[in-house]
Amino acid sequence: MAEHFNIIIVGAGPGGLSAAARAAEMGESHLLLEGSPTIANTISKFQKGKHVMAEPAVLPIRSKIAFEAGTRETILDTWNENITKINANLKFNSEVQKIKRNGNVFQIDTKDGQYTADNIVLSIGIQGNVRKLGVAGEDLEFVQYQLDDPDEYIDETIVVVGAGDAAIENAIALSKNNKVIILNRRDEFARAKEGNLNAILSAIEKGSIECIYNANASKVTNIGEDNGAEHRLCFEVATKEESIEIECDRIIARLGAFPPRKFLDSCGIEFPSEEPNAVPSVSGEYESNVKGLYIIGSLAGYPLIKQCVNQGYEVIEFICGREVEPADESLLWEKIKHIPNVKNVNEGIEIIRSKVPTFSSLTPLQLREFLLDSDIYKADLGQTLIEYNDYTNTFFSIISGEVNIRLTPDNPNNTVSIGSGNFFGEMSLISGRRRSATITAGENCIVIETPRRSMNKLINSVESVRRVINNTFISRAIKMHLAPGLDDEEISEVISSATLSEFKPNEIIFNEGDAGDSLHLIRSGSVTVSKVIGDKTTTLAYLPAGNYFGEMALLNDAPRSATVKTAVATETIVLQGKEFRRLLSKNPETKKKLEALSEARSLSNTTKKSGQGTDIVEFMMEQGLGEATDVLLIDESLCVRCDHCEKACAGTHGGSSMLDREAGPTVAGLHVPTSCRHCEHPHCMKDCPPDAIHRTADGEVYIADNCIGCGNCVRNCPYGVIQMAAVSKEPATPLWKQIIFGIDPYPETRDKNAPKKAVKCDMCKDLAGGPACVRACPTGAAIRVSPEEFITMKLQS
Amino acid sequence: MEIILRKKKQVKDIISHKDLKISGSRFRLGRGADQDIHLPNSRVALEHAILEIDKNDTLTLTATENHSFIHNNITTTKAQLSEEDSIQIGGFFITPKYSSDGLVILEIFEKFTDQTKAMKQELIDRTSRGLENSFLSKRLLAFGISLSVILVALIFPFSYLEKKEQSTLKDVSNHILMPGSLSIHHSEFSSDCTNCHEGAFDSNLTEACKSCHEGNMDHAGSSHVSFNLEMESMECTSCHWEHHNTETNAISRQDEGFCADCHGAEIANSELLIVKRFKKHPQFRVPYKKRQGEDGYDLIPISDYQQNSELSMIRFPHSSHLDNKLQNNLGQETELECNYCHVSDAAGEMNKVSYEEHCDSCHQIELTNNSSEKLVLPHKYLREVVTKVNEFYKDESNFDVTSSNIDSTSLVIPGSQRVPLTVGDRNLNYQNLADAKLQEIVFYTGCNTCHNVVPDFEQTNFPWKIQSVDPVNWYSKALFNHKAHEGQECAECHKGIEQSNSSLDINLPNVEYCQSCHLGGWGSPLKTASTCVTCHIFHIDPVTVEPEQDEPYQETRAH
Amino acid sequence: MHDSFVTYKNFYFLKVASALTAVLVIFYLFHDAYPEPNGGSWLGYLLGILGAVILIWLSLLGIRKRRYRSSQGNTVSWVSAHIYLGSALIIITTLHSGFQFALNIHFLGYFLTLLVVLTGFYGLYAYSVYPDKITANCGDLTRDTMFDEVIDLDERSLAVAESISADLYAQILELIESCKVKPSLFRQIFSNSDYKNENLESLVNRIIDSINSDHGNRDKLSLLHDFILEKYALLKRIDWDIRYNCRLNWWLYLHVPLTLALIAAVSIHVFIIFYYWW
Repeated sequence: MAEHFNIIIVGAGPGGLSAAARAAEMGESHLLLEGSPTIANTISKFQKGKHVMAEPAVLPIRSKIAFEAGTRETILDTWNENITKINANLKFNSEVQKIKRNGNVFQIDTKDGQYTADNIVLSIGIQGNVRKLGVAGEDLEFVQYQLDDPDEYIDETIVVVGAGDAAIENAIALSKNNKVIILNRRDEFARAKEGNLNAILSAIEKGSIECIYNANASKVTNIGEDNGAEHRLCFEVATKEESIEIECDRIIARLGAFPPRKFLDSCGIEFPSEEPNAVPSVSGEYESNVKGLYIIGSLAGYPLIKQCVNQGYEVIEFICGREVEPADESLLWEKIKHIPNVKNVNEGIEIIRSKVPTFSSLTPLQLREFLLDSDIYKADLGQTLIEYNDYTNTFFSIISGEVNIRLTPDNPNNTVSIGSGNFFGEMSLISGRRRSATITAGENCIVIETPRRSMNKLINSVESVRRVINNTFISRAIKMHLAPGLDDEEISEVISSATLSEFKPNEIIFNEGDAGDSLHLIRSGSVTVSKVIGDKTTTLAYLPAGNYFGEMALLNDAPRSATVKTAVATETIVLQGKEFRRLLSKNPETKKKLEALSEARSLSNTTKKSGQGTDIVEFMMEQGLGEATDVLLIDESLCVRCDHCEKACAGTHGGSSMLDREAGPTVAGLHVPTSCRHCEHPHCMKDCPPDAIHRTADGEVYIADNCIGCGNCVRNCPYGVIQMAAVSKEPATPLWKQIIFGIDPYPETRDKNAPKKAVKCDMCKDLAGGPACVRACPTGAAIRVSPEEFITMKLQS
Repeated sequence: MEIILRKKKQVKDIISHKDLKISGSRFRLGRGADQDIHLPNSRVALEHAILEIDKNDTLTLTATENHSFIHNNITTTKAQLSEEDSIQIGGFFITPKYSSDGLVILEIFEKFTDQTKAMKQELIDRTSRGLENSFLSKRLLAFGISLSVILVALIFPFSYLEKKEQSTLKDVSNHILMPGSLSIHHSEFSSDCTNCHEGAFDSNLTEACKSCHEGNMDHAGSSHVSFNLEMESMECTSCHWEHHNTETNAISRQDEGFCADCHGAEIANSELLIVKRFKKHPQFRVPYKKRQGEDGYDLIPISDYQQNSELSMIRFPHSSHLDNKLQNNLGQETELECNYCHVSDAAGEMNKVSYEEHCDSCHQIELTNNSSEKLVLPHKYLREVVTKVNEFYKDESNFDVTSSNIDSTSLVIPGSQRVPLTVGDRNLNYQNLADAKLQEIVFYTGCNTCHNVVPDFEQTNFPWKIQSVDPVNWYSKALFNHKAHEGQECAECHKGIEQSNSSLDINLPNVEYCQSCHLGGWGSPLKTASTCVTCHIFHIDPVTVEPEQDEPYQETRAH
Repeated sequence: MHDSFVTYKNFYFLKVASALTAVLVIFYLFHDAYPEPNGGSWLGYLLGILGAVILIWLSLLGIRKRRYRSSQGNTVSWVSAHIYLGSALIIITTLHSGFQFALNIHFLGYFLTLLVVLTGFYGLYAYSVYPDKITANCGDLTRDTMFDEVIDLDERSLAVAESISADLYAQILELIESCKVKPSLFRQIFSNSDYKNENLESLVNRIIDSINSDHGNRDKLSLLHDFILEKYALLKRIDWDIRYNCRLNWWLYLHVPLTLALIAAVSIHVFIIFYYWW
């Protein structure tokens, strides 16, 4: 007589385990059947030491199965531990061959047993049957469909087939010790994560991996060593143009996998389409069309491990007929409970949507996700939310109460206040520059503080939000720089006329002498203003974001008095002359101010000597210093090439230097080593999976410890100043040893498998007295300056 | 305009390529991150060249300022490109092609074969790699030199320290250690430190000294009991220093501390003044008057001195001798300088002033007879003078007995004005001329000019005697060497001497005056040496300059 | 903007050092040491101790410059002080010696001090002169890229030569493989003559000859000729770069070791002085 259980869970993957754990916890009679001899077969097939991510990061794990990002090994160990601790009822090596429904119970046959159950949870995933090459010789020895330890193979010629993440990760891992050729069916790596994409492309550029695009496998044949060939296999590949024969030692095909269609059909599960990789559709409670048969995990189309784990938990709850609230509920409550007299999350969401017009256009789901990254808190009266000149770039929205904006940094009383529904902090968010004002909390004020990353995500995804914020930015920018003390309706006209225009690096916005009737306000990026004096073009000024130009031509509608050229990719707000002049005519004193200002400018322009300081500025711009906030400059006439800067950097950053003194250009005895210049909009920040790259209030861009070493930032930095390095934790050689025996401070005793992380200049923010490179320079040749002040100095001197 | 960048890579046999569409009519090639066609190689300039493409797909490549590229093996700065041309920029080979569908394909191929790498490596290996990679090593040098220093300067000399037998090496080792050579007195010991230095880190060499110098020798006269007691507890080295090879070869200290160590503080049962250093030196003291009953003088600070007692028993006005034009016996005019009388010997000691040498040429007493023969009266010995005068007048032939008046011109009395006797006086006391004469010489014209004539009532018939001259050594406790001060005029120190009318004046400098140059101490490039021993002598019994003991003046009696 | 180690804080440490020495000299002039100025008087001891302390501090630079985390002043300020106090050391030690010189360990210390400071002076000179020369010589190339250029020229000349004659190819190859830039240490430091390579020059001459004779290959030959001259120029620059870098640093190979020797000598001097209480 077959054993009977309430719940039988098929497949001991993350989902299955978590389900079993929950069942055991709740004392349900249950059985977990696993075909393979180990748990989590798929994950255990990940390549050795692979870093398994736990996305989405904020989502909590509610199962007894603990899960957090880590290496394959650690995760498997924890799971084994957990599952045995909770003594769930597991059965390995019992692959389910047949599931059929007779009566109101299911009958399950394994090769050596038979069970019956009221409910079945299918969590078998899809890795069960991988896609093969599908050509002759696909099952030869050395043709494999998984890779356990890339370091097993050395000095082999290995062809990796596939363009997915698995293939890319394998290829890159193998390319360390082997000659790797990757075969791509198409002419691009479309399916890959961005990180992996960049990785493989740069690997191909570097030549460490060869790629054959538009290539299809046509045949694999075995050419044994016997007939003197140096390789085992011959892999015939057809591309658009020709057919290539690759002699190789090993073929690793990572072509993904299908749902086990036949088996599922046999269980009577229906599929929405005939697509081989289509997944069965399930109800909100994971129940398939077969009553009592639940499907979770990747088989149900939820590939993320975290989701599986949670689903495992939830499905049991559903089976036992209990309600489950969404996983992020508690998280959100933690934030939302700060809003007074709100009883539950949904209320809070509603209140926010109603109180803050910016978010009213968001769906509750969008808002939920958005709030997950944000903070909601009640700021005490007078508490400083934003400090003038800080480099913070979070975004604030006011739910209730009001905040006071200090108009003049030094005088705390000269303030204006904005009330509930408004937002602030968008200036720095957009321009990437220092905070333009100090803002303190007013009476019972409750704000949402949102980090740069998720705010940008929102701005880019939701048009309405983008528009609102842009307009506010424009109006505030105008008020701040051009027409202080004017209220919104006065300038509304100008704003409506304002348009946003983007420029490529080194693009000329307008030339000296052009007819021009518009004023530009730099939204982000920076420009240089130059003018032909004598016979040479002479740079007059360098204007970073927040400044404006073009007002002279506009005031006394003359042709442009100078040429303006972008230093980096730049966005400007263009104010149309007509509207603007009307505004000025309405407000004579504003006009006067502006005229006085442009007077001063043109005066300083006329006093400029020909060619003065131009070359240096031009050069700095060439180096992309237009977007730098702080750059390392070496005076070649002082530099004695002792490389102390590098040593110091290595010495203070676990043995890996983040600057290369010799590399990098030189002009007029001024050398710009390749080292981080802490951009206004750091390229490295975009696409950092764990959001590990941050900017301190003083502007340093640094990488936090939660870096997972994906290397995206390395590839995203246009200045090549980020490296991947195994940051050695073991202490450096004691100083006396270094001095007496001359032992290298960081002996190369690091093991190859040590996880590499991204390292970059952090301006030694943790060191008293500032950057070590500068302080270590024996001759005072190295300095770190903000290009702004440096250039202004150069232009004046 | 759209063109395709085909970035080719070769590794071993397989060439892979990646296509990338870019659009525009003007592309910037260079190493810079912002370039349209990015050529990441240090040999390429940041913005190396501009590629322009016109309507009918003709490509022109123009190098930017002071850069160039190689077009079909020819280095140039501008070139029209036709299909399959080869352009080289840095390590990149660029070949324009036209695809089947008429698109321009720019094949970019970074040729950096293993062979190239190898060649470069070889060249670098053949090239010198700078000091860091040379055979030199700061560390080794440092250890080497320091070690040799230790060997030569420490191990070598110390290994010879104990060796007794002489050898040049031993000598050398000694001189390596010795900070300064020995004075000639001890020079023969210099061959071996251990001759004197017995233990290490031990400054006390008394034993060593005593081994040759027994007893405490002539350190101090019997009168310095307290010092002699003190000395028992002292070490030789506290007053006798070696290894200071001075010219003087002086072993005994001569600095202020030498005396001041003791005299700087109260000394048991003695009325010695406390003198810490010359700056604190008490006012010079001069003899004031004879002490009652005993010999020697009372001393009083020169500042308190008043003229009230003549001690030297001589009358000598410096003023009249220094400024007047004077006439000597032969009637010649002479002008006197200080050094006419005050002559110092080679050592700088002042010679005594003597009548014969310095006064006689002017102060001479003669008697002249009728035949105008002169009789010079001797200076010393009143007895002789009396006899001589009596003899002169006994001889009738010399003299007209009857004439009762004395030829006023027969007496030469330089200096003091003549005081003639009245006949009355004469007749009152004396009956004969000789007596009168004598009396005149003693009291008025002769002796009394410079000497005190004091009554002596033991004598009945000539009850006078002449007090003997007793020159005073004003600064009797100190030595003064005039030679050392030759440079100066006498009057600089002996102020007001020209005006001095009386030998009661002491025209001597006081201590402040000396201190204006003598700042005390052993002396330094900017200071005149003036330690105690400059003027004072170490503990031999006190310096007393006695007047020369020649025969005392006898009182004489006229018969 | 840049504040050099010489002018640091407009000569702050120069002022300090000169003030210090001035005071000491005045002391010395008025000090009456018995029986002659020497290290044993109180001023002598003072000067001695001061000198020793300064010496130790100066040598600590070697440690400080490796302490990258330390926040006790920039290295540049240390170097600035190092220079000026180091110079002052000459005067201080001379006064300490009281001008008593003899061939013994005590003089050895003084002698070494002079050597160390003098090498230091050279270093000052080198640091102020050669960086500019290096920059001027390298232009915007680094030595490594110069090597790249050379190899590139080699490869191209080989290619051209091959197309002319096997013999020429062989010659070029031979030249490439024999070519080296290895100035002797002496030459690196003292010689000012340009890098010279006879077989290269002779080859150039041979090529010139054949240009005139062999009209068929004139263009190729002249091309080759240019390549080789270009390479020669590069080699010269590399040679200069090597020499300049050497001249920038060779003095350290005296300065540092001698410093250590000096410390040894001084400690011995002190030891012996008190060994017999001289």
